[in-house]
Amino acid sequence: MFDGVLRAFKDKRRVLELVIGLVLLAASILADTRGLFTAFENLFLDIRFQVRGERAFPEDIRFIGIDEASLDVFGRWPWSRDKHAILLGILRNEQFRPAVLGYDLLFESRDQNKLEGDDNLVHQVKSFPNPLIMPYFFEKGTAMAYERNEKKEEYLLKYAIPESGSRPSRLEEAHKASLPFIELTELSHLAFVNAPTDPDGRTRRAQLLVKYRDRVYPSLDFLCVLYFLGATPADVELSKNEILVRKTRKGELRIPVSPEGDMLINYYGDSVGIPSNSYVHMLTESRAWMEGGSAPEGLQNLKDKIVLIGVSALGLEDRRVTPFHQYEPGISIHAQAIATILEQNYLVHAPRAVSFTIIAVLGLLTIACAMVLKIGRSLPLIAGVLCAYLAASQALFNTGIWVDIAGPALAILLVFAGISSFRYFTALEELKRTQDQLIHSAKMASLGQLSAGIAHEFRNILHAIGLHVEYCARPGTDPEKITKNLARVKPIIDNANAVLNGLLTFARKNESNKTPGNLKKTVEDTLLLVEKELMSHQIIVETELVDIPQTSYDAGQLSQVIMNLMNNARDALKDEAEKKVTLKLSLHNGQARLDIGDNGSGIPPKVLKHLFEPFVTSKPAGKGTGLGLSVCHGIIRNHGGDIKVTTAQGKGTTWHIYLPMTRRQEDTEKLAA
Amino acid sequence: MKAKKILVVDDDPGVREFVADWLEEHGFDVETAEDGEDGFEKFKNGIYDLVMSDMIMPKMIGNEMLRRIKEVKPEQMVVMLTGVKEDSMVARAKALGCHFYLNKPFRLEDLTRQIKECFPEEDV
Repeated sequence: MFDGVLRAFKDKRRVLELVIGLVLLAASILADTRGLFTAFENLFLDIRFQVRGERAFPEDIRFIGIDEASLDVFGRWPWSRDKHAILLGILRNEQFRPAVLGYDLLFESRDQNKLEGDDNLVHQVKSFPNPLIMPYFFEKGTAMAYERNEKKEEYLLKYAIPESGSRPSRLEEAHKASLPFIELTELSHLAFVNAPTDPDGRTRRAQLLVKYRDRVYPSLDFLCVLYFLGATPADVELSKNEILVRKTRKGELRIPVSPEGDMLINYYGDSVGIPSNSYVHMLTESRAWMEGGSAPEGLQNLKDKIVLIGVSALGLEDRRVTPFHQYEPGISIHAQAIATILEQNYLVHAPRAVSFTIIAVLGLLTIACAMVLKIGRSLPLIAGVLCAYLAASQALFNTGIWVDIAGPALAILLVFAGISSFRYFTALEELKRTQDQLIHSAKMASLGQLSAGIAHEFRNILHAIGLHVEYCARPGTDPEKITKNLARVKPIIDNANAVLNGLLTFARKNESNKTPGNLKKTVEDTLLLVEKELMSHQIIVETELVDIPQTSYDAGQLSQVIMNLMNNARDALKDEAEKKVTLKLSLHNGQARLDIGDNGSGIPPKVLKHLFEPFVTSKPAGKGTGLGLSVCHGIIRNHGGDIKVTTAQGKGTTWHIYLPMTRRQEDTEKLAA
Repeated sequence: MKAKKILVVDDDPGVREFVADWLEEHGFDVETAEDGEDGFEKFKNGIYDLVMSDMIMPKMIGNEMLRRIKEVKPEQMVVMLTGVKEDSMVARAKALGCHFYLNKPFRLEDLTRQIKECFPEEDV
């Protein structure tokens, strides 16, 4: 490959390819640094989740869902807080008591209509022996800052994480805390439940830390795990990209966090896979137990677990889009974030530098492949490299490492497409040049065939002139007769000029130069050149030509087409007794139409299929190049026209050439001039 | 003595008119035709002592006209004026019974000689 690269640099176009490749690669890296591929990357992340599939959810976490069945029984939301008080009273029982109880329900203000229900709830919260966390909501925006409830916020300070000198650099900052009503704030533990969404509306991260009035506070998910492991916010140490809890009942806990203070949720699946119970079933089961039945399994399962209580009914709108589900209840996302931390089963996004390095390496490889190999080989090779990379990134993902796919894949595609399209267009240009050369050489070849006929024509002309001159030069010729004879020479010379014009038109250098012209004259000029040749084959030429205004064409090329088709007609008539070629120029549906017909043998069906392909010929070896018709086709298509054929075995063939009319004023003027 | 009648058939007006004029100047009665078909029509409608015809003409080639003339009147004297180098055409003309042929380009003296050969008794 190295030799190939060296060789490649000797070609100017290859150097250009390299430049294009490097520029696009640099652009890709720049785009990646500006986060332009993030949206794609996130989508690819979701796909990787789905490829990996669902995993078993840890037994330590459960949730009690306010589901459709609960709404059916207790009526529309929100319920009287009596209901929550009753459930809490049951959960307080030693047989069922969760290690940590987290609410994902906001109790911001007291229910003025049912203060009694609130009192009951407060009473139960007060009597609950294990950590009970009530959520609050952080609001952003300075306009709300003055509505702060300073008294409530004093209780919040208990949960602030101690200052350790360093913290994530771009922590989310809140401007107001919407806390539960004062008694709940006082009696329960407090944690925020804000959940960030990505720009595409999906939830992929859990916010673990938020900065508020220059202190850092833990989220519900984080605090649940802390209490479950026997730690408190006071045990937490923050650094730039990590949360460290040195002493827990399971040893050291390290949580990787982004500069914004969030953590990627390593989703286990959707809510169906999470152990959960319906709120109403909890209550009905407990009633059966109180009436003397055995302790129900659903309630027993809660003991010593982290239990979350929140809404899961579809109608209650706390719904998020996750990689696994379009309508995932918020409570399920909290449960999955808690599981991610508890199992220390993190998903870590590889650093940006890794992404750039991968883009650069794959990009350079793509440039080398695209430059040195033909597209037929480089395409599968690059596709193979890309597939291998995708497989590797999936394997890494399964172990919890997220390496970027979008940036590298798009960079590869961009670089490859850039170099390939550059190649395509230069090749196209080259092809055009080759085609022009081909048309020209085909013309030169027919010029060779023509030369005998034209020489003959000129000999006849010179002969006629010679005879007149000889006559006039005789001594003693009657001056009147000399005048008469010399006058006759003029049309002969005119005829010679006409033939010469035809020849010049035909032989004109091929420049694809379309100019307004008189189609009828071009046909006649061309006919002059081949007429004698056709006559010598006893071919009768019939013409029916009308003046066609407003056509633009390259006279040399068109003359070549007419010549070619007439020569074909001549060959097709070789074995016919009556030989006839007809030329008809007419207007047809706003197009100029030239029909060139013969009454020859017709075109055999197997040739007809490949008529305009190069090197197809029905003539014996050595007689035809097989380029004639493909050249004709090319010329007419270049003119925006069309060439068609009607043929019948034993009856003859007619070629139909269609040329578009130009209606441009300047053309008409030019023609008139 | 009645003038000899000659039919000149040639699609090239320069040659045709010149030959016709020249023959008339020498006392011949001349008719002209501009192609083979025209020539054969004129031949059918008249009596000619000599038909002088070009070989390559539109509508009907010289040899074809010769063949048809010979079909109608085998003894008709015909001179073919040929500029073609194709021996097969000349050979065919001979086979069809053409008496003489004159190679193009010819000079005035060649034409004179040819006419003398055709009409030895005439004073050209």
